[in-house]
Amino acid sequence: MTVHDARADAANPRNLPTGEAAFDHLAAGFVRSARELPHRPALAIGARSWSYEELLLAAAAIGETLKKHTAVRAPALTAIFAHRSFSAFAGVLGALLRGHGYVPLNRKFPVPRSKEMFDRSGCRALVVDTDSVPQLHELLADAADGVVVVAPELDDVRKLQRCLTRHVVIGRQSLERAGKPELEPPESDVAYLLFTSGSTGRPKGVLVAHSNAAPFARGMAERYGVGPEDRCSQTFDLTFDLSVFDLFVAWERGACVHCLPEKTLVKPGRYLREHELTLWFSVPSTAMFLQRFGMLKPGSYPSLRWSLFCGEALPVGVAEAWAAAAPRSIVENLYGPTEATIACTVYRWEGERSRDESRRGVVPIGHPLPGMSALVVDDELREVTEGHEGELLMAGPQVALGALDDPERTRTAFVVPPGQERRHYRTGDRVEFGPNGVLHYVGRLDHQVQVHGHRVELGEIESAIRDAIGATEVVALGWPVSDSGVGGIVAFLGGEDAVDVARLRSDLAVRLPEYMLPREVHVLPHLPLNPNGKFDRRALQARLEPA
Amino acid sequence: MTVTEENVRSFLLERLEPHLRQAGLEPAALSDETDLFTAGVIDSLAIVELVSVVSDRYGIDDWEDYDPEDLLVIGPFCRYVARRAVTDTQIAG
Repeated sequence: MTVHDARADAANPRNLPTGEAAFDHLAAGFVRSARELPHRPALAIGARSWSYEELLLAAAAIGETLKKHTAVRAPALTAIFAHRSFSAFAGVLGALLRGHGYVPLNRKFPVPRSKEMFDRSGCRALVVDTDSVPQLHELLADAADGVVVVAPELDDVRKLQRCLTRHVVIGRQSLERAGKPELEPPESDVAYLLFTSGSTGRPKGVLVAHSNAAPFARGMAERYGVGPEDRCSQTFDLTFDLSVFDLFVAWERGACVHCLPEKTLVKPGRYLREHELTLWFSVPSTAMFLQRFGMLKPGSYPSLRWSLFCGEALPVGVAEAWAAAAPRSIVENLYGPTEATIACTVYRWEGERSRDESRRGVVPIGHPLPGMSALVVDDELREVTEGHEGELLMAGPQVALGALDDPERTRTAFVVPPGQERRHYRTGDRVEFGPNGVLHYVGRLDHQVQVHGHRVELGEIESAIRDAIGATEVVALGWPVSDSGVGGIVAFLGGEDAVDVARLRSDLAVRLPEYMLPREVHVLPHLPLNPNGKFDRRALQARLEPA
Repeated sequence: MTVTEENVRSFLLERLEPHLRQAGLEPAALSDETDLFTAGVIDSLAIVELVSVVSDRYGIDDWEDYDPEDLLVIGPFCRYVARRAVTDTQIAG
């Protein structure tokens, strides 16, 4: 699937509430809230906050600037190279107002990785914040001439323009002036293009449509009764699709998005209390961190109405501790792969009953969200009966358009199973189909792990290590294993005489984001093999267990 | 028994020795202001593991008033632990 043919393939149309635009647009809720509640706070970062009107005007200026400088024939995508800054959020909205899908990039990733994402997306425009500017030269090294670089924070662009002679740099002074925009049908059906870890050694692009994401945001705002008085956490990086929930569910109903500073995310308790957040959404790891800091004491967070977790398995102990720490909130466990748009199943934590219903110390992933349906199948894609395990397939309006420029993956992962009529996404997750249709997460069918919610293909790390040192015996494992996922990555190398581990780490750091870097590297004479002649991952994992 | 900032620092550096070695950093090159998180020496999981070990050893039951911005800056971290320490299990036996 390419960005160009995505438009023709998008699943449409749907029932829209009256008074809503006649087309799906991820930014529609924001624009409506800005019209109805211009002076309410829309965004807070650290100690600063911005009203809906301020954010809308900034976004509209970026959108108009993109409109003036980007051609209709180019892929209708704009990259956002900004991180936890005002320009990041104004940039996302600006790209959407332009009618483009956005492609989030992350300066915390190695530049070659961001560059591969940028090059493969075919983007001809980019919004950048000041702290990401130093990486721009390398990011755009191989891009064809004439990339439109919008730098809304820069007053003086002369230096940057001298550095990027082949491209067009537009600073704050040259942004188009924009009034309050009327929402137009988007030029592209793609709302965003995200890259996830790929087992073949390259990140995989996933194309998500307005018709996938906009109804999702509306539905979730409805489910959680979000309103202008709500203060919602923003914990996820833009390169993680759960950030789409953070932004657009709050903006749908005039609530304020509270972007937590990087370090605060490791220990968010004080921020949560001081800003009296009402809706919390994070990976369960964050809750576990707070537990270790001794900050999940009963009654600690009385302002919370909703406590939502997603991205990795939610351990029962964490759900219980959080429910006691935020006693006025309802705890829900969400589940979903990027390809089924953010989250597609949900389970509500209800104390004792849920404790009994949980399996292996982990909270169930529950039932499909309204409009979505789940199918649990065997190897031949035949439905299994209650009480059995199988692969989870999801169908419904949230199933994404497909994989970017990868027809093979689109064909094998998006399927119509025998006896079914609708297109299903194969999640690769093994689940148990429990009594009353409750779904329990069991594990992966392949070598994918979750590191603090980040989806990581171990094969991608192994391939990076092989490239870096030419080794042939390489195994990457997720370690330590907890109820929620894995804490990090450990690598085993065999058949190598001398490995310079510090050098290997620095080589890998150029290719892989931090959460994919091995925390430990073990060098053995040879890696053990199992009876099938494959590397014996279990035996290697046993070496890591405490004696 | 008083726990000093120096006690905490030597324990910290001993604990972090493998991380420092992997990052190619000499303990002598570290200053009070060295930020091990921003410098990429340790990740958030390692910080949390460290906090657990330090909490157990020095009898700290919560980190309520610890400023997240000081994660993990060597000087402020050691001073905080020394101030909050009620015991030292290694020494008290």
